[in-house]
Amino acid sequence: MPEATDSRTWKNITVAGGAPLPDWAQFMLDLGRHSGLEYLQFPGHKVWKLVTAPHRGMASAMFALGFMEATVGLVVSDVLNTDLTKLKQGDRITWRHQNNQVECGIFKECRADSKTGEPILHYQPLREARRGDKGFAGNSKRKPYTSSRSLRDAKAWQLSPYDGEDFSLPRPMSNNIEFFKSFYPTSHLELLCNTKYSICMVGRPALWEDLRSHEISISGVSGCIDDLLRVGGDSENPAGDVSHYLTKYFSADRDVLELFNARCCVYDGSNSYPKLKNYIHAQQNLILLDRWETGSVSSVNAFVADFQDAGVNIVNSPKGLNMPSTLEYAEWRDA
Amino acid sequence: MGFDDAQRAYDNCTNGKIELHVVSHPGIESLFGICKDFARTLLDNGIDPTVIKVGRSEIYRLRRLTTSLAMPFDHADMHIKEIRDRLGRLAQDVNYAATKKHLETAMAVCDGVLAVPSNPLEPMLTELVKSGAAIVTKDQSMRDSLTGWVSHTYTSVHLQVMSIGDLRNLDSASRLIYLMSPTYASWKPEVPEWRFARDPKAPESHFIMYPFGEMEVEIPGLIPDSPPRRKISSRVPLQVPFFDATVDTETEWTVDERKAAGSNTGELDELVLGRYVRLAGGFSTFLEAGKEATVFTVTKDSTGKLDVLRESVHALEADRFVVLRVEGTDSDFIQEEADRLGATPFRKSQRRWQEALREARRREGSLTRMRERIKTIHDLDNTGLVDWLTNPRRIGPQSFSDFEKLCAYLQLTGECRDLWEDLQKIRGLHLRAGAGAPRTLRRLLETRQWNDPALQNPGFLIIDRVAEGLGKIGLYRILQIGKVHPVDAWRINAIEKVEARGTELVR
Repeated sequence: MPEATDSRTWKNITVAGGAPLPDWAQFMLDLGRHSGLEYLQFPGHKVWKLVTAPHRGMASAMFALGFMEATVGLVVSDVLNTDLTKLKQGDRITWRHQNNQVECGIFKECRADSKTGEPILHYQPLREARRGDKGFAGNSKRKPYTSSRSLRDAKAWQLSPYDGEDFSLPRPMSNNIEFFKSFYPTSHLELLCNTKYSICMVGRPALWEDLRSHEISISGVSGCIDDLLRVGGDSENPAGDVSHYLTKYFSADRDVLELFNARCCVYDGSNSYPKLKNYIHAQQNLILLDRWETGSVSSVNAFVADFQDAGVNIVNSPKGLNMPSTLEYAEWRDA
Repeated sequence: MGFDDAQRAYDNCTNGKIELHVVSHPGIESLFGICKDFARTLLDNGIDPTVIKVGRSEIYRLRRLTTSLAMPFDHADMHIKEIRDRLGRLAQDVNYAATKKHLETAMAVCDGVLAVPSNPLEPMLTELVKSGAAIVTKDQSMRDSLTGWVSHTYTSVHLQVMSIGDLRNLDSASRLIYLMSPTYASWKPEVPEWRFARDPKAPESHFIMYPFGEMEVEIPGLIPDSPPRRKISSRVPLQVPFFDATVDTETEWTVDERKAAGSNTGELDELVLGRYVRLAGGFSTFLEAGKEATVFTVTKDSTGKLDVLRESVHALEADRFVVLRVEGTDSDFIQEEADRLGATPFRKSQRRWQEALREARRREGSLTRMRERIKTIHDLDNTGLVDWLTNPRRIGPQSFSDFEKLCAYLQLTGECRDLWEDLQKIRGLHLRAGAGAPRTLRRLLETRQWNDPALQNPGFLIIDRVAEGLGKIGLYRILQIGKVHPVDAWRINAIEKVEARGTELVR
């Protein structure tokens, strides 16, 4: 497979405070970007990349950030192509509220306007529906209202399907919206108001510390990687207080009983591979191992054995990237 | 900060220095040659291997203690006098006649070091200690021996003592001082383990050692066929040491383990394979040893509370905290929870094939014959046979085709489909229970924090939920993972107190 190339200008990501990223962190970011380009340019090719490091901290988060930067156009496209007219009565939805908040509601129906024929979406904010459940609350004598918006207006206010926990009070779209905008200058509203899982991160609970620690800066605005990747937790590791996510997190300890599809999967640590590899299907896969962990050796061996059996050759350096001497790299591609 | 913590590790990987400090003591050095010749001489004289093992353990124990502990030779934890007495008794034993000279030389080494109690490792250690340094021992029993002596000897310097296995939990130290050679530090019976040299945890690593080791060592990477990560070479001539896979893996705790495994055992075919685990507070237990056996452990979550994980028993390591039922209905949380979810009515099918298997064992009269028949006539992989026979917790073969073959052997073909359906129900309920049990345990443990003083010292705590019908839950720090021994099934997950003369059941 030829080298993936792209002429775009990448964001200048620095350590919070403005210092350049350490060479290993820059490499992991670039490897993520490079993997994203491979995903875009060579669809259908499954790739496994293995990196061993003296310390796992921040490395997989940087890789995921690079992948997201390279492929966010696909996420936006997914959002824009969502057909809202296919929503069914009772489906949960959200839409953008004023003051950078999102509100949760219940979809009622989609009817064509009698004059123009344009689809009109009818829905009810959850807080109104709950008023209805309880009857006429407090001093208010009004009936719970139902809202209507044309399809065009609904798109403009980022109305979207929602499958999380119900919430009655509007929630913030982001904990750090300026930082998010600096990374995704266009379409940031679409990304903040929709859940479209693009990356899957599998790892230790300490991965959350990497994701939520204020470590990086873009164009003078600083924040944490979770502000950009918007990582949703599983039931063992609940997510933050926003409602929409772009990245799915699985605990390496989790008993996964259902398949999960993602564009990219990051296995952070030895427990996560090979245990979860049969449940998470992604085209681009990174396994990050700490060379100090006892399980890393067996994980490498399991990995090597998998591909030796398939007769696939190992590549020991990533094409087009300068690898720091502190890291080890191996790569396999499905034929 | 995430980048800063990680960067220290990358800096040590790139710039970490390794220095060897070779000390000399002709008597102690002679033990390497004695160890090498001892077993071979006895074997050449036709002595039974079990007899050889006893004498060999004593000589290797002497070599291990004298070369790896910096404390004075007459210190109680060095056990030199005790070993000298044992060697003296062996020298009188006719079985060891061919190695009488070896034993007498070893006794002379004991007498020599006891006569001049200063230890040649001590002055070198004193020269190298500095605040924030960590002294590294080969194993955890040595760590415990050395800790008290170091705290009394170096009162004005903040030092840690840790085993080489403990190093993985160390973030960083100002300096690491190893009481061994890099070759000994890396030695494992299967594959050398070089992580301490590949990615040092301190800017400086010092090895205080006798002149035994490889003159030049290339430190391999983790990925096969990748270029070496680093090279260590000695300017002082060194002799390649001789290691023995059986004796060099022994520690002072091995003695405790042998005593524990040897007590209260019956006939082999009534026993279950259990892994001996030494716990903090002077306790021990046996954990189920099958490759699929799991146990609950606790770790620190991102908010500083206790997080419950399910870990494979064979992946457990020292210093993890294991969750054990100290008092309650069943020591197996999953089984208990699965029964609560509705598995009990189907257990009769589990017992049906297990009883038929035990009956077949009695009928065959020999485990070997049983294995052969299952393999050759019924084409069934029999690697799990002993476990199926002895472990009442086993649900059965994982695939229907294997179970069908087993039923054919057990003459249960007519019941096979019904039994399998019940076993599948049990399996499904175990899966549900397995997914839900961490949450149940987490609720039980939510009142305790990771930094609970009891978890640090003495290293265990008991949570009493008897009033709620949940029994008592114990969290124990693992001190040592031992070998697999055949033990009575009731000893699995049971807490036992380690006594000087063996073990005593606690519950």
